[in-house]
Amino acid sequence: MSSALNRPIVVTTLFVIMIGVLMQVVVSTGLVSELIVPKPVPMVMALVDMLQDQEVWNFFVITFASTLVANLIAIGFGLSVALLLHYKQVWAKATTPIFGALFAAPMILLYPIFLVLFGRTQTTIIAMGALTGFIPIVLNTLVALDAVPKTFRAVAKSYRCSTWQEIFYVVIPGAAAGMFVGIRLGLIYSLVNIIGIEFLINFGGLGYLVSHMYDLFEITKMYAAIILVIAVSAMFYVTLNLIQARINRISLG
Amino acid sequence: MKKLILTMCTGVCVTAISLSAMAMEKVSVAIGQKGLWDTMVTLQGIEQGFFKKEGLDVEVTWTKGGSATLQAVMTGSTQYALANGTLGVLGAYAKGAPIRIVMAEMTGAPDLFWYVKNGSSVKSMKDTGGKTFGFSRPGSSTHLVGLALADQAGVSPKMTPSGGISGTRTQVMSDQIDVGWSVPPFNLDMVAKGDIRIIARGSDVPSLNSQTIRVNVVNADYMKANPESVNKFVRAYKNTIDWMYSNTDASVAFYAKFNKIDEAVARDSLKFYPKSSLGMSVAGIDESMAQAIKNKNLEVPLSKAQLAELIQTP
Amino acid sequence: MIRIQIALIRLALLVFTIACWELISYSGLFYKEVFPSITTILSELTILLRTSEFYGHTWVTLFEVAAGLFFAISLGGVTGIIIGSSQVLHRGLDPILVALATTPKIIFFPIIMLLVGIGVESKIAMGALSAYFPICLSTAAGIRSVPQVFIDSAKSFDVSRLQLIRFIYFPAVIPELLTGVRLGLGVCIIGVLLGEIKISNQGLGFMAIEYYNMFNVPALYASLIVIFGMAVVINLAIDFILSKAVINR
Repeated sequence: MSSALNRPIVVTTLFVIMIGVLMQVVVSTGLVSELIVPKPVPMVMALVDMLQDQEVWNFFVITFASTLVANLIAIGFGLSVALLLHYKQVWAKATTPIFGALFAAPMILLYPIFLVLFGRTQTTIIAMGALTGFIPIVLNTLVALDAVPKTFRAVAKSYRCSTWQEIFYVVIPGAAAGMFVGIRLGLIYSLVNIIGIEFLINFGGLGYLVSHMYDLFEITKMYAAIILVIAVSAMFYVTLNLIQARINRISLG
Repeated sequence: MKKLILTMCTGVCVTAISLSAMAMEKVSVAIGQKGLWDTMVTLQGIEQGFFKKEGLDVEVTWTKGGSATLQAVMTGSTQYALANGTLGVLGAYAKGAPIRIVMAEMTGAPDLFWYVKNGSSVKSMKDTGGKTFGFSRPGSSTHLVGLALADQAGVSPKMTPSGGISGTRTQVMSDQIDVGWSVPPFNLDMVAKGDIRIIARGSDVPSLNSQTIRVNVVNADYMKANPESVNKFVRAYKNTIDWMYSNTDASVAFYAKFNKIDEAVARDSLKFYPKSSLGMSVAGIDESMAQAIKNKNLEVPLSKAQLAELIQTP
Repeated sequence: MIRIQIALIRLALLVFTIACWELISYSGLFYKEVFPSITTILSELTILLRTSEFYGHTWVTLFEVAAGLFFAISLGGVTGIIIGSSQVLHRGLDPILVALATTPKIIFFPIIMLLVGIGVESKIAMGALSAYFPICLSTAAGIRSVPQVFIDSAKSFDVSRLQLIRFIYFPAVIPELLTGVRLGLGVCIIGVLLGEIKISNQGLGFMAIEYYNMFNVPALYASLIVIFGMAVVINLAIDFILSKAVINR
């Protein structure tokens, strides 16, 4: 028994079960109203129903498509800006602290501005996602580009490579692992902000699903939707970490 | 001796004042949509002392409308929730929410209006076929009234959820949508300046004029424990409405000051709120239930017994 | 020379940004009200900073952030130490904590509202929830990084678990705890402001969204400038204080 308890998966499972039991107890004893905390079994069943509901999958697609489009924009602009700054070091020195300050700033609070500019549309959500993804991409790409060994560039120069050849055949491959750190962070920040904005403006995909269930007073389904969002965020994070580990292994040769 | 009498009198006075303050019952109210003529009844009543006369010390919390207002009263955060969509209330009650309707808040939809940019080819509802037609969000009163307007005109506009009044205005003025929605006092200044034109109003649909679209609710447990207090609240609310319409100079001035708008615009807003729309009796409940089922707020209609329990207008 | 160049570049960027903004504002590309000129925004900013209402809202937000951070540090620090000091708990609960940490916290706001109501408590709870995870995870990581030789030495003196936590773990974990507090403060501010935006009658987030609802766009921009400025200043100040605290140790 004690050796079973030493296994992490057992601890994780026991913890989840404990939360479920706690929910059941507080609701069954009337300590907390079922209108505030649902019983765990109906909540799990609501989650299973959601996973079989085409409309929920559509919300999933909307959120992910928005994240993807937002990050394609962020990657395009982010990598371009980072490359430009890398080859103009004084510009990098001048702007890196600004990007650092913006990284720490509550960018999600700019969403009313985007609402004013683009209305309650997918454009607002994608624009916010692109903005929040852009900054970590620039910052981490700059670090990755600076970390490319000087010997690589020296070898490229010895082969009389042009600047563009140096960038595409030496610098970018050499910085790939570090660049992916930025892209990974950009994707995570984008997804988190996109779901958050969908919730705030009651529009879009998974974030809207949570907000909509709350508006309809479907508390059990709302909790199920929240669990779905947690699972999606976690799986996204783990998948990106696995890709990062793979890229790191390839980079190290 | 004089000092003793003076001290005793002061003591009696202080005690009387304290007792009268203690006699005032504290009541908290959540209200959706700040600053509308109908949602300001409570504030007007506080200002004029109608609630104080009934011994009620009312505290107002504004919400953005929707479920947040209702959930404030369901969780006991506030005793009353005002200006809730009837469909939402029916749905919440069916799911076991401890709420009771004590009065209608808005019957008909005379306050809603739809507008276009000046220069738009859309002159009336008949021209909206195929055009983008804004409403706040699916299932809302703006959605239902918008659909009713389209049905009545025999057109099929592209119903487009445009969000709140502010966001809708941007989308209309930036040509993202053709027709936007609003309620007074918002955007009436632009109507006066000629920047926008009103093409339809909620009152254009006669069938809606006898349907209560928003209601005021009380927490059921609070009502059971304090029935007389609820009667006092309703009485004060009704007296306030009567006062607002018999003293429009004062009530409009208060409304204008609160919203920081011109009194002329405030007075124009009043035209959208006939006194009958703020009547206390809940009407058209069968139609509301049918819409609630269509909108997935309800799965089946409420029984007569359930309706009798839910609607308890004094 | 480099410093002068950097200063000139920053100045040029500022001028360029302002110029682009004014160009867009007067160009008619966007509906005129959504892109007010810089002078209009600055004028609204000065009006805003002169109203007593603004300071009232600021005080409410600062109070909510401080209270939220206090609860996050208390709970996050304690649970971080407990989780970090047990290999089994750490490996078992880390996946759950990471899963929750990567989720946008605003989606938990309906649960918070249902549990504690719609008053200032919900914003404090939102701030505390947002800040809890970086503090707990950093503290746990700090505990895990305590050299085993310290623990073994302490255990050789037959110390109790509480003494181990008090004299070995806690002093060793302070830098990581402070790192967690730094990260937690940033997300606490965001959590509180988003809670105020979603439902409140007071606070800077409420003030900003009220301007949006009233379509007072210049005032909206002005309030966002103030909010951003305050967030950056608070973060820099905490960074400075905490880095000094770590050095002085």
